Amino acid sequence: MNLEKLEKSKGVVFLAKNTDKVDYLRLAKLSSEFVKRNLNLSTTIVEPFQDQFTTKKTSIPSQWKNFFRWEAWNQSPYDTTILLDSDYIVFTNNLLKYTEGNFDYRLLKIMLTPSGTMESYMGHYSKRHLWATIVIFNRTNKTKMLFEIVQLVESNWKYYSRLFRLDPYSFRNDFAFTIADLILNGYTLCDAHHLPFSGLTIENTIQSINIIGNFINIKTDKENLVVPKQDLHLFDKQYLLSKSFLKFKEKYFAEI
Amino acid sequence: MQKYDKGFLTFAENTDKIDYLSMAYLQALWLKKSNPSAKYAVVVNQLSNSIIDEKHRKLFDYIILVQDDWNDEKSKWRLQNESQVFQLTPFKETIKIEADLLIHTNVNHWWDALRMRDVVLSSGSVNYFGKTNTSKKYREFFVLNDLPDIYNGLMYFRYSETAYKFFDMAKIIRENWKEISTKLLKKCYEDIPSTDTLYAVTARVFGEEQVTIPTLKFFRMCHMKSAHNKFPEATDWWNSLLFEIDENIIRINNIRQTYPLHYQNKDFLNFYERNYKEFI
Repeated sequence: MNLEKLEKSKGVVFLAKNTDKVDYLRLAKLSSEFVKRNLNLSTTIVEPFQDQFTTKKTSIPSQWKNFFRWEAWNQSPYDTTILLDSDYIVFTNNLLKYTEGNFDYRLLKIMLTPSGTMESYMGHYSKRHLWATIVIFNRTNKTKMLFEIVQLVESNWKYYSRLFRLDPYSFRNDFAFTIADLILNGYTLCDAHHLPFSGLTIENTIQSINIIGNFINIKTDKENLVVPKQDLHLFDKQYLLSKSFLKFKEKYFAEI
Repeated sequence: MQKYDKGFLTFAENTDKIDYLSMAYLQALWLKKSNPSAKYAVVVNQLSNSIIDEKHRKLFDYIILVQDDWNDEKSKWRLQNESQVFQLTPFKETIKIEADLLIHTNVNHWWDALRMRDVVLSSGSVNYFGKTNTSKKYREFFVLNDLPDIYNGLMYFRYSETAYKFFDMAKIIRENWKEISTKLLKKCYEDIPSTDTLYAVTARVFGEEQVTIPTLKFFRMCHMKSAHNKFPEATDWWNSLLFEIDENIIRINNIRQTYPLHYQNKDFLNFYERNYKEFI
């Protein structure tokens, strides 16, 4: 697949693979609007079409599978890429800072929830995993190796799950990137490729979101949260695709 | 006894239950592999000495037989002769290590740093992630008595007046242990002090600043105890965690080990011999 080199060499990539339950393509388009508004960057949505990858739109549904994130290396047309989950909503321009400087790749180490640090042990006696929710990378040899190892881990998950004492039926990109980062760093724990901030995930079912000055008010079925304005990882995809969020989005874009 | 150069020394005083000599042999193999110019001395008792053969003589640079046995015959642990190390060592500079400690990386850089003191007891330990152990589960007595968190299983000393005084003080404390343990220490249940306890008390009396360098972070061992490494107490750690040897590299649970590995559980030797025969 040949892609034309885009004019801008910095951009955001979403990998969107529709399932019967979630229209990830629509979700990615929604997230990309926030990216364009707050980061002022180009976005590319990559959608698998059967076994091929294309940047064109399709509407072929498929089972949700947590696979193929390694394809971001091949499919990204940018020199510096921010690879985001479709449910990661960008409310600030903070991510731009982490695209600067000389680096190969950067992965998110700590993910918080309103009640504390999110559970992140890979297995019973294993290390904490990184979060593939945000992957920022430059097109370097080392990054190429990272994505190749991610692909290797995914293709040989049975072996790697045994090596790392993990559930062989629970492949996650988070695990694959963690294992790849560990192997690439000579099996040593190294923070050099980790983003120096914590992500925030809202796990519960969302009823409403409002921006009040420099704060975001999130009402869920379990709590009423007020957090400083920041990028958010919102698990409730149904809310993100709902009319309520659409209304919030229109109001948000009108005000900024 | 004339002292020469520098080297590593361990005690391999076999009991009828534990084969320290085999541990020392494995230790020497790894040490010589990662530090080809290192000299290695082993202190033995009569029991160990009786089973020394050609392969040991080929590998060990010095084999020293303890003449004056300070161990209590009834005691399970053969620890008391360790206080004689100052007299027994053949080296001017000695790094004393416990027999169940594997040095698998090049440690030439240790010597220059250790020379800042005449005696250096290693301070603290790490887990297999290479992170400082913070659990005080095995050191409650030390915490209660405000003793330094030292490990005699990895220590350095130079043939000097300071070292002589330190070991002499340890000897005096050992000889007066009953008095010290009952009147000066809280909740001390050791009738015969372990070497860690003895040296910690000695360091406290002698002056910790003279015999430790707490900021010397690389002079620590990886201590494979369950509370430090989060594996179940009742299991052997090599059954809970994945142990690999990749040429000269040791990995535990896919984490490359950079600190000396204190495998601690003597049954590890059987596991090692069963699975890594070609490395022996």
